[in-house]
Amino acid sequence: MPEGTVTVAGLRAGSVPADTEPEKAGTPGGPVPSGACSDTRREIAFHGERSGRAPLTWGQRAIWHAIRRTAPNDHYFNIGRVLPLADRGRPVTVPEALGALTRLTERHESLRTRLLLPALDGEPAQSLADAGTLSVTMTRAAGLPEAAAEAEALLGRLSATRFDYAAEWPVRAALITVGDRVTHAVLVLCHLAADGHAAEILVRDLRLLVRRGSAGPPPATTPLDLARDQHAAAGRRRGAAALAHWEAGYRAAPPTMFPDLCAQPRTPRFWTGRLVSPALARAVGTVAATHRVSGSTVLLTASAALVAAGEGHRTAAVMPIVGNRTAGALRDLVSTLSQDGLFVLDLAEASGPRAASGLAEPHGPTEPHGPMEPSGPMEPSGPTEPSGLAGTFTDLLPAAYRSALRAYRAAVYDPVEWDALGERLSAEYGTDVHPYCCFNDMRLVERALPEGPRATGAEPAEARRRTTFGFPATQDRVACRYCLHVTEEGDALAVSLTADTAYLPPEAIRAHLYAMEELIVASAAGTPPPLTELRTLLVAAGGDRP
Amino acid sequence: MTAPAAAEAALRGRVAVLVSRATDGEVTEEELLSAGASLTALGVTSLALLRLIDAVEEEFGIVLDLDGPFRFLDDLDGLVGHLAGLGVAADGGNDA
Repeated sequence: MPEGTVTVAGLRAGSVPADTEPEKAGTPGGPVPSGACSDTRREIAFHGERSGRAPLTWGQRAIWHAIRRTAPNDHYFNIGRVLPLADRGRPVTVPEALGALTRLTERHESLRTRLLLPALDGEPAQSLADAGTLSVTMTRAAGLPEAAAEAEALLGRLSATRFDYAAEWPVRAALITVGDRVTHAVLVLCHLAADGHAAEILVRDLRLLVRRGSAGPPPATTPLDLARDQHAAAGRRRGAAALAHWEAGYRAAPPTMFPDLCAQPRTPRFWTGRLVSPALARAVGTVAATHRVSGSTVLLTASAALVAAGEGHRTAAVMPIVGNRTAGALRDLVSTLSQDGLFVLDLAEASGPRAASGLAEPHGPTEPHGPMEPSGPMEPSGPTEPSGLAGTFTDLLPAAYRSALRAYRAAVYDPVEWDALGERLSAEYGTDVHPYCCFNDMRLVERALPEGPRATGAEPAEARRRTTFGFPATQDRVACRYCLHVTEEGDALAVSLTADTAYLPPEAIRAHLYAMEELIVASAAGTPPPLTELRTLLVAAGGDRP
Repeated sequence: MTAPAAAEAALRGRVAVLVSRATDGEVTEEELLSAGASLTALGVTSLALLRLIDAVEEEFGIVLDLDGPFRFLDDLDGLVGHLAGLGVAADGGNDA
């Protein structure tokens, strides 16, 4: 993560509200923030280059649909960042910081764009304003430690309420001062205006505007222009090609990954288990380097293999959240671009002897879609060991790598048409067609494995003593059954699994995360578990761990 | 050099520029043009491959089909050969 930023909430673009991160909610033993009573307000007036209206981009539509499904708890989608300004460089004055915020709002059209709600049912549009005023919250603190605590407290307060999408600017800003010096800037963003990557761009630009007075050339494109491109013929063609990938993938996989209720749901129903493991971080890097795939692919494949093993599927379907920023013009765009992708892996075919030698490919997502028997409903219900599984976990990686690339290439589409596809297939199958299984690698940068000798046999066991596990959060409603989030925590990977306890009870959540660690650590040590043993691993994993 | 060979060499140079740019210059044109190694062995990450696919599609006005094994992303010459097969020329046109 770039210098000096703090993430308050882990957010994804799909159907699930973020996990809150309870460890950020307070600062045990630290200074006590003074609270909202000391806040004052300053207005800044911005004057951008243009105004306009356009339909929503597909990324905005995806978030809007998720917001509607989550309301009134949609403040979960707010994205917060703290930018420390007292840690280095010359002191920053209030006029300088307010000036930088003004230029930030003028630079990024996304921050001047609000929702135009339709009079009747229908899709909203976006409206860009050229000028307006933004109210900035100002808070004084006695000293630097208090200011840091105040920044965190303000982040929590400004994130705690939903945006008024049609009336309010999609950014809430605050400055914390000690004397006449600004120590922190706080930004809370509406997810319609920014995703996690966009939030980092804003923090970077705000830092540059404060320090240098300029953030460089203007962004290459804007949400308004992107929306017009997506809704034009070429964009529609690309969207249709992406949805053809989805249809073929849906037809190659079971209708859903978690078909059977297996327990009385807990109250609250959704539990988040969180495993923090330095050993996993190192093992993911080793497996990725050895097999020449990304660490993200290693984790995505582990997730797919364990879900399939646990539920008795031969074919796994997982929805990775895709950043959609590979096109040059989109890398610096402040907007919400992330959408769900569909990763499909036929474990038997991907791990078979021909696939392992590079001679075969999984046919699931690659088959031209046409009249095909839906494979989903033909699968036996109830977890049984699928036949035909051969090979080990790492044998899956070459085919998984290609399947992941296909998934990443097919994640820009109109969510309205995506909904229609799901409804059409659900009607055809007579059952709900949706994986209800998603994967979000929220790391912005995947660090390469440091140079040095590979782990020895004893090292992983030593490192795994530092693994911690807990259930940090629960929620009443999440529109998914299995949501895996990957973040970085120092030299460790933090893997969170938010699951519906009617399908994955807390003990299954815990076992799943320990099994993932075991699977990848064993693979890194050169002893990848056979696929036929993954069910046993899910039962045994973590039994003797804290 | 015959005309087709010259055209292929020009396309090879053009594609090497696109690959290098997709890696933010981490992998240089010289490395790409001199080595016979696979793109991943040279350090082209999956993110860079996705950027490369976008760049190639935009530059030459084609769609790269990822169905099937798509071995054409394995190394530079595989990609150049695939593009030549699609009728792509180094000047950015598609004469197919």
